[in-house]
Amino acid sequence: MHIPDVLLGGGAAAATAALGAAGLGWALRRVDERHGPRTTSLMGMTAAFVFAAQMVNFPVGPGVSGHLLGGVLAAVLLGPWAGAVVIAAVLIVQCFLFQDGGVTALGANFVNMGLVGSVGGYAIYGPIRRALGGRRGILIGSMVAAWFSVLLAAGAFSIELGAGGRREDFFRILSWMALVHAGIGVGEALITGLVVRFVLLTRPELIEGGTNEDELPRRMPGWLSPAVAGLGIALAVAAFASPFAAESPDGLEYVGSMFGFLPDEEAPPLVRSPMPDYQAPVPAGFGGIDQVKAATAAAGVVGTLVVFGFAWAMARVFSAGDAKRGAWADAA
Amino acid sequence: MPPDGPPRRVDARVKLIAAVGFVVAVVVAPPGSWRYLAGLGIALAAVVVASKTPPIKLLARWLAFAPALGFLAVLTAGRVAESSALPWRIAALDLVARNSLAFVAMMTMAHATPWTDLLAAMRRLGMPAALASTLAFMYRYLFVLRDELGRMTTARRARTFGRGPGFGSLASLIGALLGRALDREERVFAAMTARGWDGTLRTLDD
Amino acid sequence: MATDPSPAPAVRLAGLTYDYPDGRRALDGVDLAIAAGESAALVGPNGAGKSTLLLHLNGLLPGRRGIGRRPAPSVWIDGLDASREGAAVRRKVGLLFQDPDDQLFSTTVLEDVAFGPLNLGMAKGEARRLAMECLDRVGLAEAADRPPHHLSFGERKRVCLAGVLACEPSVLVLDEPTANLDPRGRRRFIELIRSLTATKLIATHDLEMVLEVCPRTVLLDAGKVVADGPSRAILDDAVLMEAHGLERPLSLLIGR
Repeated sequence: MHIPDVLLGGGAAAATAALGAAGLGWALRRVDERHGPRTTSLMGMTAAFVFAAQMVNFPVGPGVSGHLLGGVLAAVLLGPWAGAVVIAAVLIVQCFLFQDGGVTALGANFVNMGLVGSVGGYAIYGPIRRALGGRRGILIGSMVAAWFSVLLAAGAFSIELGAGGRREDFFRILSWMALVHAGIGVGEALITGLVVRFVLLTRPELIEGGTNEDELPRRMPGWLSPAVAGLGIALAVAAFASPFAAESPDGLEYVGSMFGFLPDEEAPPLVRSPMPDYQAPVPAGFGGIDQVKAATAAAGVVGTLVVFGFAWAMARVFSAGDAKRGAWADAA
Repeated sequence: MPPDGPPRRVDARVKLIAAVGFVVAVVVAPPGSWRYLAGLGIALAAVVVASKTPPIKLLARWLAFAPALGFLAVLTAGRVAESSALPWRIAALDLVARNSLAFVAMMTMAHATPWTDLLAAMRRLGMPAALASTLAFMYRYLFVLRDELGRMTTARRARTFGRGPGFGSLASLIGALLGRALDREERVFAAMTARGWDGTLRTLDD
Repeated sequence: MATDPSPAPAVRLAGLTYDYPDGRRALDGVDLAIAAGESAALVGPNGAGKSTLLLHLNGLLPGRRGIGRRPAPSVWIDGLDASREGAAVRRKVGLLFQDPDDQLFSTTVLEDVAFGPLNLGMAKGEARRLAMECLDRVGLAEAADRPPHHLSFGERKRVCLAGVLACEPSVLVLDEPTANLDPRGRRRFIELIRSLTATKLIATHDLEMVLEVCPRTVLLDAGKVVADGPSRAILDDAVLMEAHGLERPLSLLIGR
């Protein structure tokens, strides 16, 4: 989901614009060192592909359909930094040509989908791929990364939207975002997995290092992968646990002050004036916060189980012997 | 006014800066500053009329994004309500109103500016060269891939006899599209290299 | 009877071998020499390696994405090693691709034809003049300001040829120049090719065109040169042609 204009607070918009610009600049510098003159052509084609793939609607339920987001897929194909640039290109075209996502929220959207989605997703994909090895590693890694990248993006999304607001508002936003994105995330993991599996079965050479892992250059600083993966898992846990954590304010305060979006306890209570209709800030149809909490947590647990289950099931096509390097030729 | 609408002839850089400036002016407006917003709205309406952007098109596009906008406005209205002392519902309305102004401004700009001009304007305004040529390539490949996707879905439909495609077959479609996309990229890149391409985009104008 | 190559042939291949990324062999020890000014046809069944061979003439294939097996030098253009002096070789070789959509990408026809000259460092005014001249040669001067995707297939093909000619190559390499053209477009294209004086290597299934344009034919199958000689002798050899998935051209059958 793209953040439109205005919904982000001015401060959050400025901060994410600066962060996004810095991240994009860094990604462009890292990308320049690879593929040579071919780089921009490959990134442009991958961006066009992600854009086109987003037009293919997958049936989710009656009257509901979803589509690929592609951040992790782009990173699996071209590496994390080129993947982030690809997402930036897609977002720019969507913003300026189709008004999908606001121009003042471009930074935030890039942070969520490019930096968190592609680079963060790759940080989850990389270790899993290396640990499992072979095509199984690529498939399971990309599915798990797709799932977490969507949840992480939802977390970042909530932080940006809730920045400067009250704690209850933030947790309401986070709950709803996590709930909606649990569904999107399962879809993203499934579609990413099915596409990656198709490519591994038909054209493994298209995947970065897909035919020969020795060619895979180490592009991440050694400390970055574990750090981002750790942060990612912590955030995912926080996203689903947060509705319950809200009952224990201490832990909550800690998480809140970590991100710096909760008003200081000592801050003057200039916003405490109780408003007449503040008692029920959510319209009746929007559901009670308790139901949302329960649904969110359930969706998180079920979604995680579903993604891991499907990932293992789908990876069974590839023999365990794949893990050994050099088994590629036999399988092809 | 001239039949083609004056905004089409303005330098793309001016249009880009004006549109983004307008959006920023809307974003930084304090919640509930209705007169200020009304003034911006009247100015925007004049530009919309001058650019001959069909209002129906604007409305249709706006409606397409309205559900998501409403959802997010309801979610974030609490924050705005708190900082502005506006009632919650009014705060949500304020968000929707301001977003719609920004949306219409950007859409009018897009309508009055061909994408290639806009891209050239971004490049001249300092967009990094690698990003600019990625975007140029993306635009060039988009139409090729759109046609490719159309042909593949038609061929598929010819063999599915009206049944809706399943999850797996749609994913194979995307996978096959990826294969074709990268094959095409390889040929296009070879064709460009054959004519001396070294990674720098050179054009006859500018 | 192979044409005797001059001391520095325009094109020389020696033991050219290449594997596809998936490991299949595409070219298997191809030896070939084409003298300056000669017109040779490259024929063979689908998958024989014709297109792959053409890409090598531009130094485009070795060292591409991923696969790092860089073969020993095996392609020379006017005595230049294509694997080392790729940029210089690309100035000499003009490569016309089979699908015009692979080659056209600019917003206007003129811009596209000027793409090569601009990349080769020509000043904008000069590039514009040369592009117009080349468009005129292919009979499309009036289409200069139109977007390429509004042209017919045959017109797009001629724009591509203009774009190649604008690089002023001494060796012209054409991949299926007449494929998918209607009879009038094909006739026009053949006349165009005949009017060009550069050294020509033409990969094609259009054997009638070969008889018209190329005195010499090279037959390629499974990545190997299986025959090389005067076009009439090779194309009229029914046993040889059928053994490699080809047919004798009709004009030779009824012309006897």
